Amino acid sequence: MRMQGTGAAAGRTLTYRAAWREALAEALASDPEAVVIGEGVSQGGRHGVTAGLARRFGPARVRDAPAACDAILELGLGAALAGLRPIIEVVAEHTPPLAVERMIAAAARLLPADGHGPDVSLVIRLACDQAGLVPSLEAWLAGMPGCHVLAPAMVADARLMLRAAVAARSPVVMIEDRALLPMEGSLDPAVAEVDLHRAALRLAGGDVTLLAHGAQVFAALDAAALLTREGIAAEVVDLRCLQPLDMETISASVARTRRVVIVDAGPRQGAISAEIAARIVAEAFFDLDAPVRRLAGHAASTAAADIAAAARSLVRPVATLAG
Amino acid sequence: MDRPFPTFARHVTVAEPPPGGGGPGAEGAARHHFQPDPRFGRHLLRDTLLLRGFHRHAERALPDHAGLPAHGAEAATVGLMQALRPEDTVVVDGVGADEALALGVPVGRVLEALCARGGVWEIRSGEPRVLGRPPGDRDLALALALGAAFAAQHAGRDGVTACLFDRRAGDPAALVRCMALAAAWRLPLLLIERRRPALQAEAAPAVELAGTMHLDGIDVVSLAIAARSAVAAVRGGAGPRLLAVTVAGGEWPAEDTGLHDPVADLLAWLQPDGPFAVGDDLALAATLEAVVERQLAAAFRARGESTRALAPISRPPSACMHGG
Repeated sequence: MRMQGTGAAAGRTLTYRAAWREALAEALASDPEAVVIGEGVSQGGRHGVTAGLARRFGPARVRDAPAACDAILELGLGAALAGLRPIIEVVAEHTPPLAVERMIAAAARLLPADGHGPDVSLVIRLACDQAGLVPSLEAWLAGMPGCHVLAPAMVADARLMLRAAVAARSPVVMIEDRALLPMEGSLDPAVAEVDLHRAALRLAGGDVTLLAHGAQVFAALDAAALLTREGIAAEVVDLRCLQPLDMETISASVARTRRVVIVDAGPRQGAISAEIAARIVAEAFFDLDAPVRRLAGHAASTAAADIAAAARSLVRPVATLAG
Repeated sequence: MDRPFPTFARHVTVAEPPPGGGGPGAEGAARHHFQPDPRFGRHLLRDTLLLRGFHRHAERALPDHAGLPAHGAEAATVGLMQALRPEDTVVVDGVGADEALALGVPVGRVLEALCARGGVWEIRSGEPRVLGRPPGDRDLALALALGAAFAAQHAGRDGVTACLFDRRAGDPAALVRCMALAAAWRLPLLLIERRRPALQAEAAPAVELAGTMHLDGIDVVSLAIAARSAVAAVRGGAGPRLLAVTVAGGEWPAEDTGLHDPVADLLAWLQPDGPFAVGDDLALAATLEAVVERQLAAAFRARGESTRALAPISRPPSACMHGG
């Protein structure tokens, strides 16, 4: 079992799965309008995250739904508009992107630009069995106005982001990557909340920025460790929030390091990394000393060694060419 | 058009859960019994005249407004709305003007909603709640209704969610999905699909679900009885119901469709030898029409000055609304 190490103050240790479960339990305990809905959630759901919640809160609050993600999402939107705070679990591999998109788009239409519309407190937990198998679902969703798309990598983020998501007035999609579930991490007792709009700096460095989200954050941290041995200081930014993108944090990092590698498990074309690259070029072009590199696609191309190689080629292009 | 007169309505008794005491688990609760009476008939007539007059005025005053309700479903709306209670919710594939008027929302408030910049999402009548959207998004209306019904069940409320939509818009699968989930969870949901056979877009055979109740949307009294029966079943925990209501596709008189006129029907009911036999009250129709016309004219005239200064049209007496 891998331990997440991010330099956080030592606190209680728990797994990523337990962090989700705790956050769900907290939402159910603190808000009578919160209700967990999904296929088999009374038995733990797709990833065992909801195990035990039905026993504690009853089947009316942890509601098993038929295998009909379209209908569940439609019900969730309507229930949110009726004042409930539904937390819907859908399996990414079983969910047509259009089903999610249609509901998010509908919610966006109901939310007027002046913010004086109804609350649509809808949280969609997108359980991904293997990130990258669902083509650019996060990129697709991140293109939808009016919703947050979150990809927590750290245990603390899983714990605190769900709390913030349940309290949000607009729909929030949270990507729950199966690869992260057994990982352990500690909760900093001094941190009680998280900003849904902010990326997080996981490792400071001055030579190259590695941007990643979800499980790729750990590949980026491993790559940074490899680069350190070669005297290259990589900065790792955990994007956390894919919609809206925290371009302030990204641009600040690029201004410090002047080089950037974007790591993305989704397909190369139309991926979230393509959007980030375009915006870096548009907003921080004169801070760059090298072209923006993107690593996307299958897991092989997002392995730590590949990320390190890409970063090395930006920091030491001549040596890379000679080697 | 000649047709069998719906005299069965005189003898039909609908057992309804009592206000606030029905719903799932209220097996032992006393039941209210509803039977149509002359006063009920007058309210149906008045509301039908109000909606028809509203269409007429709105077309003159707001000729280019996309949110105008469609003609031909006034009777269906009036017949269905009277079956609802304050704790219920109405979701409409449209702005919801007709439904709000039939529920007693002041004409000025409905006009305000129709003319609001960017359309209106909700005409909050207080009770029942009316949720409307610009037309053309039936699937969203179904989603809202499904969620509202779930929220009512979740809260243990006695409320029924009624969703009115036109057949021509939307994905047939969305309707099937909605009904399937509502049936699986026995949600208090009443779906009302308005069908306009005169429209080309609805000429093709409709998707039929088992248990669908087919109703003549012009026969307002029979429809009112059927709606009460369906609402009572849904409120009692029997799960969702789907009513397929055939309505006209345009303005009255609708000779080309061969459909009868609901106002003429109601007047026939109110004649001395009709089922309601109100005798001298035959002049009531003219009086009602004049009253409604005055209120509408005032409301539309005032719109240019101040839509907020309008006197509300009083709601029908609760005894009529709730059959007590």
